[in-house]
Amino acid sequence: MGSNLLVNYESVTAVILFGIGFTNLLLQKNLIKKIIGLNIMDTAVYLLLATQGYIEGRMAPIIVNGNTDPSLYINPVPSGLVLTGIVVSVSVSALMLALTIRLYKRYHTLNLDEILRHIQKEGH
Amino acid sequence: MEMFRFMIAAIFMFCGVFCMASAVFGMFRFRYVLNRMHTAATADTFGLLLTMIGLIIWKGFGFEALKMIIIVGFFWVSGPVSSHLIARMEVSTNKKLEEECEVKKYGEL
Amino acid sequence: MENFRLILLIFLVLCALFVSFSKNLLVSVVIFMSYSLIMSIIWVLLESPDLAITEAAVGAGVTSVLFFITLKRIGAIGKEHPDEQDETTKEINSRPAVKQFGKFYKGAAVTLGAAIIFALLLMVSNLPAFGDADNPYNNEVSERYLEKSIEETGAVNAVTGMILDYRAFDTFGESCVLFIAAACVLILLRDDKTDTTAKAIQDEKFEPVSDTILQTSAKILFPAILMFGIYILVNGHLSPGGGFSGGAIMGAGLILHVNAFGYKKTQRFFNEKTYKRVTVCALSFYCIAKSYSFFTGANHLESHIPLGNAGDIISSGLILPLNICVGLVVACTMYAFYTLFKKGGM
Repeated sequence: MGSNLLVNYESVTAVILFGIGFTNLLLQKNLIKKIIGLNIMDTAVYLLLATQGYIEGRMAPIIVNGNTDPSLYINPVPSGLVLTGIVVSVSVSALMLALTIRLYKRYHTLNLDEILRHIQKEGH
Repeated sequence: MEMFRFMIAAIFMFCGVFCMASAVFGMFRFRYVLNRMHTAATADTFGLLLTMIGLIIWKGFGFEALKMIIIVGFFWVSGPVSSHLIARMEVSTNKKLEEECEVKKYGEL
Repeated sequence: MENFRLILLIFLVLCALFVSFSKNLLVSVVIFMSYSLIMSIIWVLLESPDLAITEAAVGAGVTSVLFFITLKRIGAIGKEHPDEQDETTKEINSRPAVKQFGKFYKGAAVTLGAAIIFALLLMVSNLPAFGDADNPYNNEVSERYLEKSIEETGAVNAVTGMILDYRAFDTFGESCVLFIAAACVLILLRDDKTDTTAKAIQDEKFEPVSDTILQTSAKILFPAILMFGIYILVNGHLSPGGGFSGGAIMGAGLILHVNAFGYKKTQRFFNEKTYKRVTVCALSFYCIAKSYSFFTGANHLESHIPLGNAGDIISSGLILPLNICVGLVVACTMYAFYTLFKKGGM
C-alpha cells in the first residue's frame, strides 16, 4: 500500500467512477442503462489520464508571447490523447444506440433477459 | 475606489446567486411540471444577467465583458424558447391537464 | 480552488450513483447530461480547455441528443416504469431457483465491482503525487513538444500542434472511425422503402411541428451557432478548440435548423449527396496532404509549405486545412447520426 491515496483524490474519484460504471454494466437489465454505464467508464478513464498531465500552478499548453519554456505549461500529451478519445466514445455510443433501436424493433423490449429468451425460442 | 467597485460587483453577484438558489428551491418545492418550469426559467434568465453584470463590473469593460454580454444575449434568446418548447410538449401531451391547471387545450388556443 | 474541485468530484460520483439507481430512463439521461457538464468544468480546472469545449459540445450536447432521440424512437419517454417485465419473465423470475441465482448474481457483481475498485485504489496509492512537476510523466517527450511546437509546426496551441502535426495519422484514423460509425448506423437504421407513397407518409410523420417562436429564435441562433463553430474551427491552432469541438458545434447548429424548419428546408442545402461528397473529399484531402508531408519528411526533402508567422490566422502550414477537414467530417457525422436516428434517412 502506497502513501499517496489521499493526495491523488482525482484519481481516486476516477477509479470509483470506473467501478460504478462496471457494476452498472453487470447489474442493469436495461440496455440503455448499460450504455450509460459504459459511458461513465469512458469518462472515468479520461479523468484518470488527464489528471496525470496536470502540474500544480502551471498554465494550459497554449504558448503565450512566444515563451517556449516548458516549465510554464502543463503536459500536453494526455490532453491530446483524451481529445481523440472523447469523440470516439460518441461514435461508440451512437453505434450501440442504433443496435438497441434494431433490437427493440424486433423484440419490443429493452430487457436483455427477455431478448435472450426470444432469441432462444427462435432456435438460434 | 477599487473596494467600492468590488462591493457593487459583490452585491450584484450575490443577488444573481440568490435568484438561482431560489429557482433550485422552487424546483424541489413545486410538484407540477409547469410550475417547476416557471420558477426555473424566470429566475435563471434574471440570475444569469445579474451574475454577469457583477462579473463585468469586477473585471472592467474589456474583451471579456463583450464575451459575457454575448453569452447573456445568447441565453436570453435560447433559454425562454426552450422553456416554451417544454411547456408546449406538456400541454399537448398531458391528457389530465384540467386537473392540474385551468388552461385550454393546445389546439383550441 | 482545491475545495471547489473536491465539491465537483463529489457531485460527479453522486450523479453516477443517481444515474444507476433512477427508475425512469429519461431522468437518468438528464442526470448523465449534467454529469458531462460537471466533467467539462473539471477539465477547465485541470487546465485543459480543449477538452472542456469538446466535452461540453460532444458529451453533454450530441450524446444526450442521441439518447433522447433513441428514447423517443422506442417510445420510452412517457412510460413510468421502463423496465416493465412481461408475464413469462415475471413467472420465470418468481421461481425459487431463479430468485436464489438472482440474489447470488447481484452479490457477486457488487463484490466484483468492489474488488476492482479496491485493486485500482491500491494502484492509485502507489502513483506519484498529483500535480507534482517531477512526476515521470513529465519527461522529455512533453518538453520537446512544448519547446519545438512553434518552431516546427507553427501552432501556438501545443495540443493542436501535437494531434494534427506530430500525430496526424492518429487523428486521420479517428476521422475514419467517425465515418465508419456513421456508415454502420446508416446500415442499421436506414429505411429501405421502395414504395414512394408509404415513404412520403412516413416523412410527413417525422416532420417536426412548426412553431413560430422556435423558428424566429432559430433565425437568430442558427447563424450565431454556425459562426461560433467556424470561429472555434479556424482558431484551432491559436486558441483552445479545433476540428472536433468546432465540428460538433456546427453539427448542433444543423440539428437546431432541422428541428425548427423541417427536413425540406434543410435538404435544400444539406442532403445525403452533400454528406457523401463533403466527407469523402475531406478525408481524401487529409490523406493526400499528410501522405505528401510524410513522403517529404521521410526522404529529407523540403516540403515547400510555409509555416508563416506564429499567431496569425493563416499560418502553421497544413494544420489549418486539416482542422477544417476534421471539422467538416465531425459536423456532417453528428448531423447524420441525428437524422438517421430520427427518421432513418437523410
